[in-house]
Amino acid sequence: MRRPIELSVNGVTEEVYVEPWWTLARVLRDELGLTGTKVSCETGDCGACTVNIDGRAVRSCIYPVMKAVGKKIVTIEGLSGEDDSLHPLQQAFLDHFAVQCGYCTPGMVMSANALLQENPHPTEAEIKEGLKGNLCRCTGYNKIIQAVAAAASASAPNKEN
Amino acid sequence: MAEFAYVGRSVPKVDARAKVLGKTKFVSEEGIGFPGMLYGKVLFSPHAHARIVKIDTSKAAAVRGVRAVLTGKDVPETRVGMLIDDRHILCREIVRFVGDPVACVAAESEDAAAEAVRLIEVEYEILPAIFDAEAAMAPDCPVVIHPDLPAYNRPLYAYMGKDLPGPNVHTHHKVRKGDVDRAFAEADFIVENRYECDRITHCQMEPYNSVCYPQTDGTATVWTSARLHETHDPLLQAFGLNPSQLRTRTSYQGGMFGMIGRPERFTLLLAQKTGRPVKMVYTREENFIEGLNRLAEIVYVKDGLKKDGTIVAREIKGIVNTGAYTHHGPLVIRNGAFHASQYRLPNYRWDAYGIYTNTPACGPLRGFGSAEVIWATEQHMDLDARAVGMDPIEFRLLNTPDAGERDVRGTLVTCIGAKRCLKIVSDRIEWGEPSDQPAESHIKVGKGIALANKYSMADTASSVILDMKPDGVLEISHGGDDCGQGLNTVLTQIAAEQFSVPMEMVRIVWGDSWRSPYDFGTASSRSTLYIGNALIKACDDAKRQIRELAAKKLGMDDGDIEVGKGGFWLRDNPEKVFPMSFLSLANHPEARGTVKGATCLEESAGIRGTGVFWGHPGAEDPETGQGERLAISYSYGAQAAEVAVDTETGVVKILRLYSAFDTGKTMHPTMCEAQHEGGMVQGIGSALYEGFIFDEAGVLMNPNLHDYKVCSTGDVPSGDDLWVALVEDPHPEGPYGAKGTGESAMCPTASAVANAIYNAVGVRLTQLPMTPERVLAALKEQRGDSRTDAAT
Repeated sequence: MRRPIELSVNGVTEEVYVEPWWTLARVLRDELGLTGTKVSCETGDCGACTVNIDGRAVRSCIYPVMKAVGKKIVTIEGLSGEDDSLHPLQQAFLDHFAVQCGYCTPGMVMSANALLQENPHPTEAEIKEGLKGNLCRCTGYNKIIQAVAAAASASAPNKEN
Repeated sequence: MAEFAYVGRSVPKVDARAKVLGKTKFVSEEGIGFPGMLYGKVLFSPHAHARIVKIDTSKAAAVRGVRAVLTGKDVPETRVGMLIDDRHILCREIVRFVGDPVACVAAESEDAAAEAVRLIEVEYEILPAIFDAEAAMAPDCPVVIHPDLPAYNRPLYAYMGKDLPGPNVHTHHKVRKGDVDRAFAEADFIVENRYECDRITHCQMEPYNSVCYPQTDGTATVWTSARLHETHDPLLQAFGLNPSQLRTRTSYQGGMFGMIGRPERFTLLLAQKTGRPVKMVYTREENFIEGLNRLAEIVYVKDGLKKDGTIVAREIKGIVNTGAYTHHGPLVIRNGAFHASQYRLPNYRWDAYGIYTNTPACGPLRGFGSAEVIWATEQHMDLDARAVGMDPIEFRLLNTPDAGERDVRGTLVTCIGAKRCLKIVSDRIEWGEPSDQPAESHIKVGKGIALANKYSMADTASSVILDMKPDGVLEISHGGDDCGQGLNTVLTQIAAEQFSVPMEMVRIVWGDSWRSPYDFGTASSRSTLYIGNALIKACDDAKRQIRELAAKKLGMDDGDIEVGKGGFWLRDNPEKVFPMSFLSLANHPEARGTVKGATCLEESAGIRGTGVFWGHPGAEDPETGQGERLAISYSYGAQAAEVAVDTETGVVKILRLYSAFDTGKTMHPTMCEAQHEGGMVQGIGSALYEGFIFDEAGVLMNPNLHDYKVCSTGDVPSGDDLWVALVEDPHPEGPYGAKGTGESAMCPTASAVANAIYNAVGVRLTQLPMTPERVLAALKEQRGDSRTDAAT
């Protein structure tokens, strides 16, 4: 039986009717239309579904939606500003050609965002460690690592998220 | 070479901004929240080989919300296929691998569909199964997977099905050149070995998915997350439809690597039966089982050598396990022979056999035949070099042909940057200098190199339509695919260059079988060369029309008019650019405001240029495999790897991987470099981690991204240790000299790594992937033997 819950997503409180066993990814995509969050493996192995919950990187494809109640969820849609102004990480991904097919990109950016909030100036090894749970089949990671390093050195991460 | 404003420059990637915002609509987003949507699910066979005795769908049909439960009796009787028609949409009598589709369901929710699939009751009579290709190949193999094979229709390459040596052999492809036996008899050295590669899969991040919308006029629109035409054409065949009865659409794909659409046949079938839209997204497990994965191959190589280091003969026998159905298999097998263009081989014999087994069906994957064979031949080149006492690089250089020579198949070598590439990577890895060894004595470091080529087939065509809009915007319609490699960016660069307009003035329309002009599709490393050329022709055509119309209107000669900058100008007055609207009917002096807003021209509805580029393939002799023009281009290149082998654990770590490839002309340096980096890392995955593991009953044991390991950031070199050089040896027929390069970077990686492992610890791994278990086993065997190649 569906039940109403409130979720805080990208700074907005949303009321949704969910089955209690649903994953957060399913609710974000199918109920809230936030399709920037991708689903790829459904077992928490690839990181495409990564969102930030209370500032930490979380795989929303295996995260029960009920567990997200009362927490601050940020998705890729919440990272950019008004009029689609890009977050420094998004800008860095663009500038460094860290995007090919783009299916892993939202999850990758959200993992990087959590990483930079915890460690604003990571070494290359720390970036690689921080992104280890996000698979990309197109880029070979080099440009992604460069993008995250550039974002870290260019500006402080957005502490609000 | 001329300087260009857009071509050859790392301009912004046209699709990247929407992608970083999470706003790109992939096909997996199609149909979310669409009213009346049904969800499809497939029941797969749990047995590797069995007869379907009875199917009871009554419990499944009774599940609340279920709208259709379909089985083999609901699908067309005609078998379909890509090159051999050997398969039904749903199994009718026999299941031939664990995962063969038996039934499909459409329901109001995904949960109901899954529940219904669980409740379908199938009674099977188990049949003996066979998994090993060499055993299945035997003339007296007791298991015959397709008893009706001789009667199957072969729409293409029929000659590859003659004189087959066993009932499970569906393909035999031959290449013959010179007198191989005599050359072996006269050779100073003979080097033989056997190589093997396990099955791997694409692991594109966007799972296979599809939506089908039935239309009120009896047509249907099917969305695919795979290639447009490679999905559209088989659906027409399978369902007996005309092109105007089915509209196939796609978007930016979330990765490709050769994968072929899978759920579309089920969404279309279910939509036809229910009259409702149907959406299907495969689970990752279904991606592994139903995906047409890279085939498993055994390659026997025998080389004859002279003391001076020249290769006088090569014989290759390939035994290719294509699984239970062929799909692209025969073509993958045939195209493996393109590897031979890499070297000067005066005598050559190639026999490649395609074998049915009770394993999942195979298909194309980045490298399409080349990567599997090069895995064998580039290790073998190191064995050869040892046999003749030469340095592996020197040996390769000696046997590499030059432009102007004919390759083994008879195709003219037009441009070949192989030697330059080899020098670049060997210099960078300091070839000849021994690797620094770490303090821990159980870690051994070594270097290896490999050459590779990747063909682009000549027997394909592309077409492009270019519309010049009244505001000067150029609209390109093409039938290719942008799976992230950057095709739309490259086409935008070309059009902007051709018309001297900013890239913002170019827009791309693609991915719609009713709107996009014909294309073979994004495959065979062909899009830049074929679609790029077709676009340039379309630009020329549009410019000619504009010149003619403008000249007529202005009372001048065509030759007085120059086209570009969003309009046109008179040759002697380049400062005054006439807008395109100058030619519109609205601006006709006699219109006097009566056709205000009319954007059509007096003579036509608009400026529309068209262009077609066809590879003009030469015929292939079925007995010798010889043909004047079988490939249109080859991307040649080299890679050098430095690896560390832990002799206690068997773990191999790639310390450095350098790559140099000949692109003809690099259209976009950073995107090209990025694509190569991705190919190298996919190559590392195939070298060390990726491989299907089956149990003794043919069940795939690792169909997920946890047990089937794709490289993560922790597994690969980065920064300057993952390094790409792009060499430009212009292709005479390429747009701006460019040729395809998408697949090539993956082709030499596994051999370069294997050669580096040999250099580090003196063992030769001949089976992919080179897992710690296999490395340890080889080291153990070595402790019993001496530090030599088994084959020499």
